[in-house]
Amino acid sequence: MDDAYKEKLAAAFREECADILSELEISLLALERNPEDILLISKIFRALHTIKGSGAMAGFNDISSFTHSMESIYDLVRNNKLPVTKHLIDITLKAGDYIEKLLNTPGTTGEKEFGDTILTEFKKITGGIYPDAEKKPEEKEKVLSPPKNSLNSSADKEKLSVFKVFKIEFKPPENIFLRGINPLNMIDELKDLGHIECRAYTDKIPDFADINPELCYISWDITLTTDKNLNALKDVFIFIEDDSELNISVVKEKQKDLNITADKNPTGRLLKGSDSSKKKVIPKRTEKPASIRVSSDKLDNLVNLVGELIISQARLDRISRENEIPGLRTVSEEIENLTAELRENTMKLRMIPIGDTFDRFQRLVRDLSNELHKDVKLKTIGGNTELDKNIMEHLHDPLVHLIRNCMDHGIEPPEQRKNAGKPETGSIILKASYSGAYVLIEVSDDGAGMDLKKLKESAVKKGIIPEENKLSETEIYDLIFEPGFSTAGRITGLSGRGVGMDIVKRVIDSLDGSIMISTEKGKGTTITLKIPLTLAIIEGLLIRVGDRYFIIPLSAVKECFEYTGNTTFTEKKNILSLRGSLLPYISLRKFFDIRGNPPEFQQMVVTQVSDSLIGYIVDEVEGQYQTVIKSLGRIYRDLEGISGATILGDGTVALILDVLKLAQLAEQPA
Amino acid sequence: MNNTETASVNQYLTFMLGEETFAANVIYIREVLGVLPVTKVPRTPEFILGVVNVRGNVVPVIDMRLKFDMPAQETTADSAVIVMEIYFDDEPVTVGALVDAVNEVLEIEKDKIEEPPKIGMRISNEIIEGIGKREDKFIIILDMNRLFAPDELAIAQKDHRDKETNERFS
Repeated sequence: MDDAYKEKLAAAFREECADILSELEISLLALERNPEDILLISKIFRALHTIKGSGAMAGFNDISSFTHSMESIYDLVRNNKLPVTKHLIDITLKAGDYIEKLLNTPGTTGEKEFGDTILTEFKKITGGIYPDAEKKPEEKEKVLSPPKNSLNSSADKEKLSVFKVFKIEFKPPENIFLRGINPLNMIDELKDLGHIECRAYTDKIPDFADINPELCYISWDITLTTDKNLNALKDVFIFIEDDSELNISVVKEKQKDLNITADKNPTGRLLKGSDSSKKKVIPKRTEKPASIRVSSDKLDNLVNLVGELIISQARLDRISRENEIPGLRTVSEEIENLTAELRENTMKLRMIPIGDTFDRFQRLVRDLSNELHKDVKLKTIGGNTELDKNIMEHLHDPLVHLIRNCMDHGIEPPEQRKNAGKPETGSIILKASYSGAYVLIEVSDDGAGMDLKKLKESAVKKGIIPEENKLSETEIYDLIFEPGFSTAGRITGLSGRGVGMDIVKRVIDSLDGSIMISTEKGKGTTITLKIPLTLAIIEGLLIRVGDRYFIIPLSAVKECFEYTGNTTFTEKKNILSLRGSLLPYISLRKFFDIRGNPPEFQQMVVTQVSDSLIGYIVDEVEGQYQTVIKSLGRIYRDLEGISGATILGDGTVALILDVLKLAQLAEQPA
Repeated sequence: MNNTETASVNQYLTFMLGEETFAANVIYIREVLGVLPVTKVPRTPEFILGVVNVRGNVVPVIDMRLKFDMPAQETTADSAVIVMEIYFDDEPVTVGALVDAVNEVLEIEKDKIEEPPKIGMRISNEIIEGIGKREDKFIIILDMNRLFAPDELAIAQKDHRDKETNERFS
């Protein structure tokens, strides 16, 4: 195997294994809630088995052997020999972390101790059963066969003391005589256990001239009828089972076939291992809809290319409008439709359900529950909601901060909850839902809620706001997003240092999203993140003011009408009355300080952002425009009112209005 | 930007602003373009002209004249945009600089570069890397990473904003 191939294998394994590990974690946490669920146990077993098999194939021998030990444990669990306990889940989760470490930093010896402690813990759990586990991998095809239970449990023994017929295929190692063992003695021993019928196979005996009298060439097929259990049978062969080909099966029994191969030949085991791993993979594939794995770089590249195509198409459209060439217009329109469809489909490729991200937090909540001695359950709703993968990646950290805040500040300690008449188990709900071109993600807890007075006092004390400041309720809640702000009395490892919420805000801002807080003292807090579905390409409305072009995200546009600027509207400063309600508006010409005189008839574009309507007065509405969003870059990061840029058909740059920010600015008193 | 890299290249692109010759180390320079249509970005410091489209990427352009408090001037056939990659806030950004004319790439030995004089310079010393001398002419070598010093930019924006706040919604 050349190195490049090896590296490719390893990379594929890393990816596969990371996926399996996260699935494993989810299964483990589910198992903790439903310890009896045999399907989950099997799933966990399969996951471990796949890691073991693929790991060995990809050269991750440390992972493979470590997972092998874990697999043995879960085989015991699967066979009802080991109960599912919180402790077991704890260690398995840790073991999962360990595998992940091995995966990302192969060859590190520093972690070895960690791995060893986990193995020791495993051994402690299993007690005497564990050493037996060495030969478990060969038994994995069997499902819960009671005779096997009798291996270790004397209680089971009585239950099963009925006559059974065992079929024993026995081929001793050739060198058995050299060890001073006579196979006939063993058959005699079996005879003592019950009635036997024995057939010897002599076909392997070579011609007389070739016989080595010191070797054994004979094998036996023995049918034994006995009331003894399998263990007793195996005891007969105990000294040579490692080298013999020994096959014991139950012939006449209501229970399924029992087929223990005591074959210890490593080659044989390897073959069997790979064999069964193949068998395991096939059903797993059929569980999921057919899909292929594509690196995200390729996807990003595709999105960029579609972006370029859209810009080119816009140029073509422009040329076709300017030049009356027969047929060109039709072709241009066809291409426009195709690119729109292509864009939509390409963007869909990048959409992934948020459930995977949500599921990762089960572990976080579980760990924090232990750490903080608070009993908290995490419930997730709307896991099917899809978001652009690139946005999803950014969401993880803010959600971690929010959940930590819920756990640390929100949910009260159990006694306190009890006194307040709440259930001792706190609950955190993660909920995702669509809202137009946005996704709403709610993080809510049923904790103590926020204390307005305390928030304000803390802000004054920290010098974030002056003492006499009169702030509205919303403004006070917004204080928690100020850097250095924290009301937690004590500093814990989790929160209280006043970092976190400002980071949350910064990330959400950078995604063009927004944050809303609602809280009720004693009842709990809900923090809602509003995130755009995608950041790469949007539908926009192209508008013009003077010689400048701007894009308003079409998702925010509610209506357009001609604005005459005369007194048909009851105009008062920058508010006009529209069908009986007041509409604040911004004149983009004034706002952006654009020189020149407005045309006689201006247009009003009405946008709706989080329930509030804002109008924009523009010179002209040019029409719908597929907008490939380009970042203005870090130089402009403090810029207010502009969220990005796009490239128009003529190659110039148009700016995209940040309707959210502009709405906030417009709502401020003039 | 790491210093060893800067030290290892002693080639400089020289350009003109008015009568004065400036230079920037070639390690910053990506390409030199003619004058492009600029989209003004509202409510930004005056010296940032706006953004241009450089092969599908939106790149901010600064007017070096305004940056150095020289009077603004109509662009000519010689005017050029030098596209550079510089470090802003420890991250690389691509920016363009509008200059009156681009001259040539020069090699200036390190020992020919002197410390900028403490006084008598129109431009803040912070942005000057040193003064090179060539055929009795002085060349002001600029530290392009200082062009968009974050603090400088922030202050400029704030001033600009404060000035505008009262006019915006009238």
